[in-house]
Amino acid sequence: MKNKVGRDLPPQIGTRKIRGYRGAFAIKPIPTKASLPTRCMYPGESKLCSSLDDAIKKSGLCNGGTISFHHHLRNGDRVINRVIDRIAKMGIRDICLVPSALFPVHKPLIDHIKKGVITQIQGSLNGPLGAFISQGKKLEEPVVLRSHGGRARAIAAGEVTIDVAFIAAPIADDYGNCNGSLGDSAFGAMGFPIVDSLYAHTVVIITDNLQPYPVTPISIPQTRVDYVVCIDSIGDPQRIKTGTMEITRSPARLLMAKNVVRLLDESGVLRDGFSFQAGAGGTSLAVTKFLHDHMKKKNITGGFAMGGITGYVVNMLEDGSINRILDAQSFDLSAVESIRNNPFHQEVSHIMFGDPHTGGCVVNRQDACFLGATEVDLDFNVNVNTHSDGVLLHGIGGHQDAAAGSDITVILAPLLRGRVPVIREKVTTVTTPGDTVDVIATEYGMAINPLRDDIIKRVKGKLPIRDITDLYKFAQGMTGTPRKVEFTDDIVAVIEYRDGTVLDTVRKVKKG
Amino acid sequence: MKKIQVGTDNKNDCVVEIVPGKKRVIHLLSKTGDMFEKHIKDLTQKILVDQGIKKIHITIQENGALDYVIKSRIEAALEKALGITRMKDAVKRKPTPKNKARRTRLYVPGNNPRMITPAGIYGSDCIIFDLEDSVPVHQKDAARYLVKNALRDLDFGNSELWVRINKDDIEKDLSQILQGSPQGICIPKVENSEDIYTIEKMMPGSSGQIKFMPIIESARGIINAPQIATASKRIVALAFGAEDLTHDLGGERSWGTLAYSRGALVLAAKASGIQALDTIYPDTRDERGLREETKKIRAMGFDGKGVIHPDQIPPIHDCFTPSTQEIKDAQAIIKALQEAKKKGLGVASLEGKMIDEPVERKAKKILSLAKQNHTT
Repeated sequence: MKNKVGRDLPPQIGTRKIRGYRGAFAIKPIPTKASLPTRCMYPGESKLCSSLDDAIKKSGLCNGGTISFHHHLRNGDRVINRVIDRIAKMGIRDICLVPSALFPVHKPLIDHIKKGVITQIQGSLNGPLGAFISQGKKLEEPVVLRSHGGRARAIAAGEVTIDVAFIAAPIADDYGNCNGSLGDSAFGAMGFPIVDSLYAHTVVIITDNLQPYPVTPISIPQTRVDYVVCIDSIGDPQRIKTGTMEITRSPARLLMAKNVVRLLDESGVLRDGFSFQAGAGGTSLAVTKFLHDHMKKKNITGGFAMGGITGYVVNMLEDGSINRILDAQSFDLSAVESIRNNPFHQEVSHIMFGDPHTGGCVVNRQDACFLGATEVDLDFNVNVNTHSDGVLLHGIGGHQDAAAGSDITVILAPLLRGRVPVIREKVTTVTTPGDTVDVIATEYGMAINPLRDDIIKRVKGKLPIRDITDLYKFAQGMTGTPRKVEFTDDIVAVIEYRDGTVLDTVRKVKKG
Repeated sequence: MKKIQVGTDNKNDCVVEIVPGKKRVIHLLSKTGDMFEKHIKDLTQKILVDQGIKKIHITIQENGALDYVIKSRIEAALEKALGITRMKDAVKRKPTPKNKARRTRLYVPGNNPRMITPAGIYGSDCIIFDLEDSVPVHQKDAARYLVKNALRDLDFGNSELWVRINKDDIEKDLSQILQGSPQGICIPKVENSEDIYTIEKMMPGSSGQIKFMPIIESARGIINAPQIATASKRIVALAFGAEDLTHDLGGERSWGTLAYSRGALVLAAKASGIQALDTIYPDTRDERGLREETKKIRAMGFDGKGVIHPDQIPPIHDCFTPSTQEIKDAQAIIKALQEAKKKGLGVASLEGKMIDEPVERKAKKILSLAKQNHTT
């Protein structure tokens, strides 16, 4: 069976019956969602547990259970490894792990996979775990990768049932009220765990900063919390920033960023009320900075910025270049400080950010977004999951959601990474379908999706616009055609679209 | 044959090492694994077969190097080891007009692939691949091959392509780079017309379209500027070099110190109907200072300025762009003249001011500059 992006899919993968991708907005949800669990807690009862072991025991977790975590502490997280270690020690096996993402710091989980403690993962894998999975160290079921909005949708729809959500919080009271922006381990917005706390059957708050009742502001309220446990440290806040947080210094990439701002200007969206989503990559930060400069110069006041928030966006809020920040995850400490102090810096959940099956998510209101890519292809499909050697190394993030919702979706991609051309005939893995991608911005010019006649008409002759096939041939002229990666038939991961259909699969890499 | 190494381990470069061997062995260490293994080995094989080399061990350690870089490093290593170099026919390239806009000329170090590859994307009017001061002495040989192959293999868009050669290695430089058909050659440290004649004599008959740009950067050069400007029909511009000149004068680099020399250079150039191009602005982070200096040199009659960082290009183009008022005035002048001509008058007047031929010429120049900058 071929789906709409031309990928061949089997009718069934593991125990899952496959529905292929049919178009960004083709799927209508079933009318009801998963029902919310009921709880009871009578006067005089306590939620406080004496230790992690105590909390795990009380949570009722048993063999075959599904547990979730968030990754707001990114590579500084100390909770996931610790909880899984305790679970393993207690002899619980066959766990299905539903993290929002895993990072290099979570490399020790490989051992737990080998020993059968973890037998399923539904979540993003960044770094060594992805590489491990790509070598075919297969779990019982292939890993399911979802976008941030898609994860929220799958949980809300009951496609993923979380038995126990372990939620790290830098401040909490003994009844479980908590937020992400106070305390030594503050990480800012709690976009992921707000979702998990709504639908998980049991919710455990893990904090290193227990404060008198009631803790405010309240991101996750006591009504959804079953247990609270205090440990010595949930993470290292200095390491919540991972990946590039420095603006690029490459003149070629700076030029690329400048041209993107010119494109937005010429295409008419850069006016009062302008709204956007920017990422944390070096070129994306440059776009944010140049946007800021441009808006100040032209006296334009933007509506809102959605994020993935960095200090560069915070600067825009602080000098009045934008009116609001909507923040589902805070990328640096300056964003953490802002969400704590500035009432116009609003925390939102990933349901609100990008769940397509709600009364409307924030991405629908974005004029533009700037996203990265490891590969793009002649159909404008984007790959951010696998490297060109076929190894699974990154999650989807909010990529699919932002691309589907935003009026103008710009992919920032250098034409060449070293000698590897970024534009391919077909991407190795489809992360985001080409029908939701509008512009590929390279240092050698921009390619605009022919579906966006309106943008082409507005910017033609004013900006370096090139046909995507020209750019493709131009790059291959300098590098030659790269050898195609060879895969086995073993499916190690499924790339789900935000609506629950399947875009692509990741197969085990054949060793040369 | 001894062991030879060429290239650097910098990004986008490669190190090629050759030693004698009993047969042809190509060993590749690539950052991209086996993605381009066959491609790079085929490329290497072809060069060795072309040059008839059978007994060699060649190791290529590549760090994101493009084909033209790998080729250049191999060719340079073979020349160093065996003294052989295979000359190729010069590539075909369209000549550019004598008076082409040369507001910006971006200097690119000739042995740095990371800077050479994207040099065409910044939209400078000219690119100058430098074999001279920005290339360390021990890399001069390698740079020649790199610049030659960059010119042969890469597409630099609409920029006019120049090479700055070494004054004391002219023959060697020319023998390589002419195979890449640059549109012009920058000749450094020109002091008199003899310097130009020397190079003119070395140019092969087939190089008729290749232009010269003498760089004048000494007291003697300034004094002799008028004879230099007319020393060859190839000369389309005189370029001003401030750093060496300041040293020569014994003063400090300031507007005052250089004012006379700049004026003398503009005079010499304009008297011969060629362009005058100003020196670079050394502080790449000082955009305000760059703009100030560019406005001043434009007012003096200069037609462009040297560039050492891509960020300097837009401000300079901006300074050479006529203002909206200038454009409006020029359009009004042309219109008034057209109306006068309809009435059979040779001279027109606009708001009480007489418009004659020099005024018309100036107005036309403003409109053509404006057209270049897409402001009309």
